[in-house]
This record gives sequence, C-alpha cells and structure tokens, in this order.
Amino acid sequence: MKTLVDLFSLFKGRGKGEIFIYRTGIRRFPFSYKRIYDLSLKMASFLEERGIGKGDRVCLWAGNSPWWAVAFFGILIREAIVVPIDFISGKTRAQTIIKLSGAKLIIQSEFKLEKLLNLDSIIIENLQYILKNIKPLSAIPKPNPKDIAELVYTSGTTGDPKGVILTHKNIVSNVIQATNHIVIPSRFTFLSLLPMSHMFEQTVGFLAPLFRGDKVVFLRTLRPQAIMDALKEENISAVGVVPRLLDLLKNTIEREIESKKLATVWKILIKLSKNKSIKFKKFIFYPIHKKFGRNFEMFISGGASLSLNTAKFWKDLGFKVVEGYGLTECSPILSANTLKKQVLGSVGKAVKGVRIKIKDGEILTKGENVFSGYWQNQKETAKAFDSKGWFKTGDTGWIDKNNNVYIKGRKKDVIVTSEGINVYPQDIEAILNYVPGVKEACVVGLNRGRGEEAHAVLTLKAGFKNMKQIIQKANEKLDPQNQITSFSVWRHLDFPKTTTLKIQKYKVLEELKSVKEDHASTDILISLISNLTLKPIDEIKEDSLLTSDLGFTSISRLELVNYIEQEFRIDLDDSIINQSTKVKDLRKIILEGIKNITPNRLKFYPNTKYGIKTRAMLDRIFHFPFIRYFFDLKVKGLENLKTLKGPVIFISNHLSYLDQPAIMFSLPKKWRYSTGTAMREEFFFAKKLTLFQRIWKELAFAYATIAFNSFLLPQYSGFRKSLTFMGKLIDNKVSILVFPEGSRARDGQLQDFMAGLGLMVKELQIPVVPIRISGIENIFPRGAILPKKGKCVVTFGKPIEFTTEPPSEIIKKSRDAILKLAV
Amino acid sequence: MLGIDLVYLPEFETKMKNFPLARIFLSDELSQNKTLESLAGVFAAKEAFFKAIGKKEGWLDVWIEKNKDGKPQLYSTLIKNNEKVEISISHAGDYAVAVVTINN
Repeated sequence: MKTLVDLFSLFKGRGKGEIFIYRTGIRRFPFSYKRIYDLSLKMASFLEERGIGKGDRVCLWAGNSPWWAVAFFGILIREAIVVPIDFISGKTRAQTIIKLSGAKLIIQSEFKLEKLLNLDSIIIENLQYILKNIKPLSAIPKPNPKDIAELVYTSGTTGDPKGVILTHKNIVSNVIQATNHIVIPSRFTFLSLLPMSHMFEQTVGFLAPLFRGDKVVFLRTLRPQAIMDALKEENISAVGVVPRLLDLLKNTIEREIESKKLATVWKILIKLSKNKSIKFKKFIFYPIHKKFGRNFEMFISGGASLSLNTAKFWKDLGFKVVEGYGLTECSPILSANTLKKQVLGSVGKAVKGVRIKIKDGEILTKGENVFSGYWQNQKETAKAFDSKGWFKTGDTGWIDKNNNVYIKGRKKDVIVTSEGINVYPQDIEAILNYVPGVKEACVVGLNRGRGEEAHAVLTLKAGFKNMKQIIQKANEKLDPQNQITSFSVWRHLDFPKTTTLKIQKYKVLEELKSVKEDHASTDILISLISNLTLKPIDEIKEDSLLTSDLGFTSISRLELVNYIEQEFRIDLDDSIINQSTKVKDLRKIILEGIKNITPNRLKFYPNTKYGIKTRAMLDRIFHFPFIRYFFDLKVKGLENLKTLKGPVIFISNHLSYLDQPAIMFSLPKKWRYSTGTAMREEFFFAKKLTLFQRIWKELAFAYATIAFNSFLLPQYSGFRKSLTFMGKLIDNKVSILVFPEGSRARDGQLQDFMAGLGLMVKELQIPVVPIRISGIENIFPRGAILPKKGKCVVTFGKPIEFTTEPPSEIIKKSRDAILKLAV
Repeated sequence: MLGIDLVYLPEFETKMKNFPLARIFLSDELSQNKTLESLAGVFAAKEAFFKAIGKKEGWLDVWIEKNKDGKPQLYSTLIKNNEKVEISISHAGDYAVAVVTINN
C-alpha cells in the first residue's frame, strides 16, 4: 500500500463487511465496505462534474460521519487535496484557511450558523440524495506517493495558521507504522469521538482501522447519554480520547461514589486490587466496566499530556489507557505505548521507522511520516528544521534507557489544553490589546486542576473596571477554540519586563500561582453560571432563581444546559429550566441524575420470537374467526408491497376501532408479524380516570401490546421518546402502522394529519405505504357497541420515497396519496 | 392563548456560533433560513409558542416552515390542530420578535 487510494481500493474486496455504523440517536445505519467504495467513486464523479481536478484544494468543514469519509476519499480519488477544517472552528478561521490554501470548493454542513458563500459549495447533508443518481467513476487513478494528499492547518487566528503539507507517503507510512506498533489481535470496533479533521483521530481512529478492515462507529450527536449508549450497544473495543475526556469521566465516577456514600468502600477496593491482574480489577469494578460494554479494551490518549493522576485512576480500575505522542507535522504518531505494555507517565517507544533524538532538551525527529514543509510559507518551513534536516517538534523531553519517551513541556510559547488544542498567547494578546479599557494583556497557561487553560492577566486603563465585559468582547472576536476561560487583574501597575520591554511571563506565572484565587474554592456550577451571566460569584446563591434573579434568557439558558451536560456528562431535557428553577435545583439534578418520573411503557418484547408466536396464536383463535364472521373483506394492491426491501411506515385513514385488525388480516403473513401499530397514548392513559377506568385501560393496554403489537404514540408531549422507540423497531426490521388523523373520522372525510408524521419520515428514512380502508364504517362505526356484518375494502397504494421534502410537504403528499386510492 | 418573544441578534449570534444547532433546529429550518436574522426569528417563534402553551417542551417538537412567499407557518407535535396556530415574525435592526396565538 503506497497511497491512500491504495488503502481505498482494499474496500472493494471486503464486500458486505461492515465499515461504519452511523447512530443518529433515533436510527442506526450500517454501511458496508462495498457501499462506501461505490459512494466514494460516485463522489469523485460528482467532483469531476464540479470541475475538481488534480492538485485542486477542497475544504471539508463538517462533523464526523460516513459522509465525511465519502467526501474524503472522493477528493483523493480525483487526485485533489483535502483541506480539513475543524467543525468547531468559526467562520473567520475557515475563511482564512480557504484564502491561504486557495481552495476551489468547500464541503460544509447545514448545521453551522455562518456558512461560507463566496466559493463553490456543497452541503454535506445533501450528499446522500445527490449521489443517488450519479454514475461512479470507472477508472481509479494511481497517484504518486509523493503527491500531496492533505493540507492540515495548525492554529493561529490573527497570525496566519500554517498549512502542513502531508503527502500520501507521509500519511500511509504512519498508518502502517501505527498499525504495526499498537498490535491489535482481533477485529476491533472503534468509537469516533474526536474530530477526523485532526490527524490524531484521522490516523488512529479512521485510517488505521479501515486499513485493518475494522469497524468505526460515528455518532450524530455527542451528548453524554449517546456516547454511553454507543459504548454499550456497539461492543466498542477502543476509543481515541483527549485527557480532558478522561478527566471528566473520572469526575463523574467520583461524584457518583460521593453521592452513594461509598468513599471508604472505594478506598478499600482500590487497595485490595492494587497489584492484581486486570481480570481481577474488572471483576471488582464490574459496575463501571459494565457501562463500557463487554469488548472494551482500551482508551487511546493523545493531543495533550495525560496527567499522572488521571492515568493512575484508570489503571487502578483495570482500564488500559494507551498514551501516544505526535504532531500534525508527523501524520501524526511519533511514539506510543502498546496494548501489551503501558508505561505510566511515558508516551511509549518510538514507532518503527521513526527516528527520535534529543538535542538541547528538544525532541527532534526524522521519518517517512514527517512532513517536508508548510504550504507557501518558506519562512516557517525553514524555521521548522535544523541544519541536518531533523524536524524540531518544539517539545522538550527525554528518553530513558529502555527507549521510552517522556515529554517535559513545550519550548515555544504555546498553551496546550487538556483537550489537545494549541492556543497561542500572542493571538489572544493581540485581540485583547485592542479592546477598549485594556492597557496591556498577558496570556499564560495556568493549570488550576483542569489541565492548562489560557489565563489572561490584564492591566486596565483608568476608569475601566468591568473585566468580564472586556473578556466577553475579546471572546467574540476569537475562534471558538481559543476562548479565554479564566482571567484576573494584575495587582501591580505594570508587568515585570526585560530591558527590551518584553513581559517576563515566568514571573507573571510565579505570582499567579502563589496568589490564592478568590474562586479557587468555588465549585464548577457557580463559576459556570458566573461566566455566563457576568455576575460576580457572591451574587449567586443556592436559592437564586435562574431566570428572574440571575437574568438567564432563553438563549443563555441553552448555553448553560449545554455546558452542564458536557462538564457533568449527563443528558438534560430541554425543559429542565423553567421560571421557577433555582441554583440548588440544578445542583440536585446534577448530583442525582435525572429520575424518570413517567414509567417507560414502550416495550420491545412483542417483536421477539415468543411475542410473535403468542400473537399468531391469538390471531388464529380469536381475531381471525372474528374478522371472517363480520367482514366480507376484499384486499387490493398487494402487488405494491412486492418491491419493498425493508421496513416501511404504513399510513391509513381511521374510521373504526377495527381498522387495525382489518389491516393486519389483509397483510401477508411476513408483514403482519413484523409490524407494530402506534396507538394514541391518551386513549389508554388520560389524566382524569376513575380507579375502575384505570384498571380497565391497563388491561386493555396489556392486551393491545401483546395481541396487536401496539405501542404508544402520545398526542402531546413525549413524541421524541416514541420516535426513538420507532427507530429501534425499524432497526430491527419491524414496520410501523400509524393513523395520522389521530382519531376516527366523524363524517367519513379524511381529516387533517398530525404533524408528527413529517418528523417520523425525516428521522426514520424509510418509504411510506398509503392504505385506504372503506366500508368499515358500516361494520363498527363510531359510537357503536356491537359490530354488524358488512363489506369492507382495504387498498394498499404504491410506496412513496421521500428525500429532501420539508415535513409539511411529506404530510401533504401522504394525505393526497390516501385520497387518491380509489374506493 | 398567546406568547411573544424578543431576540437580541448580537447575543443570538455569539451564543449560536458555538452551539449544537441540531438540538434546536430541524435541517429544513436551517436550509430555509440562511440569514442570522431569519433564523433568530424562527427561534423567537419557538419560544413564543412555548409561552403560548404555557409549558417549555423540546425545541424539536415545534418547527417553522416558510411557504414560497416567505410566510411562516408553525407546526408542532404538541397540539392537535396546527391550523389554529397563528404566528407573525418581525425584524428591526438588532432585534427579532415573534408573536404566537393559539385559537380555541
């Protein structure tokens, strides 16, 4: 394998083997190697239509998904150059990268507030529809390994970012180096959490697994619960992480131990398992390991230094944390620990084929994976290498006698956060120095327990006191990844300076560390609220009402919910903060997690083998004789079902309570026993019922669930829960029957459809089959107590496949389809 | 039932730049509202709707679609009859405002 196109060509022979799983939160979409192979060739063809040829730069600015991969390979097959942009980056940075790289086209996401409109653009979410009708490229080119495959830009917002030139050879050699170094014995499933636009995830969590034929799981949303569900349900073997995530998860576990008052038990267990095997630890700490699924093997940590504390914590629990080291300029892996052996505090041995040496304390390297220069930037390229051609990493460290590499720190003035983000103080200082009120700004990396953070120290002009407003103004101009999260006022008139008037940052840092910060002891929730509301910490009391006392608007409430979710790793409902929520209510929720007050009545068991057998039996004994007696039934349009390849949404008009049994009876056996029916929750569980009514409805609900495979679809709140359940049914190849009118028609006329159908089709992404039922209003109409014999016709219409129609159009077309079905 | 919400555009812009938009807006809302102002108007309409029904529910339980003349129409899984909902959105400089009424 010499190029990324060679790697891509491996996909063809893997046929139906699974390459990706895309979890949207509602549905789970598997992709096979062959499908991605075909889609990428179609993408290349599409790019050719758009005028993309050899050497053209194409920006890719989107979150992780199978479509990112399709775009990635499509660009490479065209022999063009991929310029990935972190999804979290703001418009300014994206604009700069486009300008510097001379990009011809940008593939961007609908889900970015500010889009780039001044060059040719493709919206990545539309690719799945666009590529359907494109013919795949027939001839796959053979690029030269020395051809440029990617331009990856490193940070810098005001000073221009540098474009690292990575050739096919650079990247492919690192993929092979990494694969041979961290030897994995069997088929692995990787969870993709870090951005693929960054070389760490790209090589370790994407290209290497694909080279080996493994599977990668993508999540549409990175909310904490979605991550925990994926870990468990997908039998994840490994996940690439940054130290910050390991810290946050550690905090969550420690918080849970605290709230359950298990601190002493915990200490004993840790001591007990001190030098025991991983197997022993997995047994002792089973409740924690359970959350990660039965195949979980390791965390792969990179991007920033892993603190010894955090590394020890996970080791004590029996988790493997394989720490590695690298830079974008090295494609990126230089050294790593292995699955077999992890040396605490070290970043492992150099990978084979990479040479590492220490000169004047700095780590230098040479190898096929090391880049040769920055795009159109002779000055920076020259500065990056020494006279003998060794790349100067800018990191300081040492190598022990066993060849394990240890990282000491950064040589240059760069702050590396625990999220692996490089923040350049000069960039932030440049912005701050222009904010009115600032005399002089000095940004240093301060570690206050959350890894290194960019801390801004300011001297202010006379009359200016509002620090928070100044910081806010600066943050508005800074890229989302370069936000100032902590700041203070310098206590003296001026900063300590050298004779050439340069600020002596080490002295500033010394003083900052010695000062006991006024909010060092404040907890995270209060500081979060303080940062968002710009209110001083002493004004935030446990009893403060979030809306009226602290001034949270609907928008800032959203921000708070998002931050709390990410920091405390719990999912919060959108409705969690209302007019009467106080700080202490929030704290309670965080400590106790969300308790489900409403029982979960959505059960999957009717779709198991036994559920189906029970239903078939009840059909034979009760339901079908009943139908045969009362119904003179004619079924039309069954040929429309023959072309269907998977589950569908059946929609029907609603005239009688017997609609569902009649339709079930009309369906061929295969469909009948793989279809669930949505029933109005309010029919069974309304608010004001007498005890007798409640018992009767509970029995009716139980019977309906078992005998008719019905599930609840609420008319009002709770729609999303049902939608998620429907997604699970569809993933298990069970179709859905729904009556979009919501209630039985009074005058035989088709009523308006409920809006939920539109969302269902958009999220479930399966065809809609319209059904028209007539005559049944004479058999068992509204208000009747006993049925009468009569004629009934059930007509199945042609399946409708929707693509980009908005929900209201889906509803209109579906309703028209039923109307058109001749009686 | 009536609800109103006022959005200050600069605040909306700074906060939404770094927020998972998929949590608040459907992809159709994002593709139909390409400017900051118009998206802020949609946001205001959602908030106004929650005030009108008197309960804060999920952001994705209500959405606004615009017909070819740009006239907004609100849809929601939270009410039975979408026809009874009337909305109106307006913009002036740094502000967007929306009013929602639900007729019985």
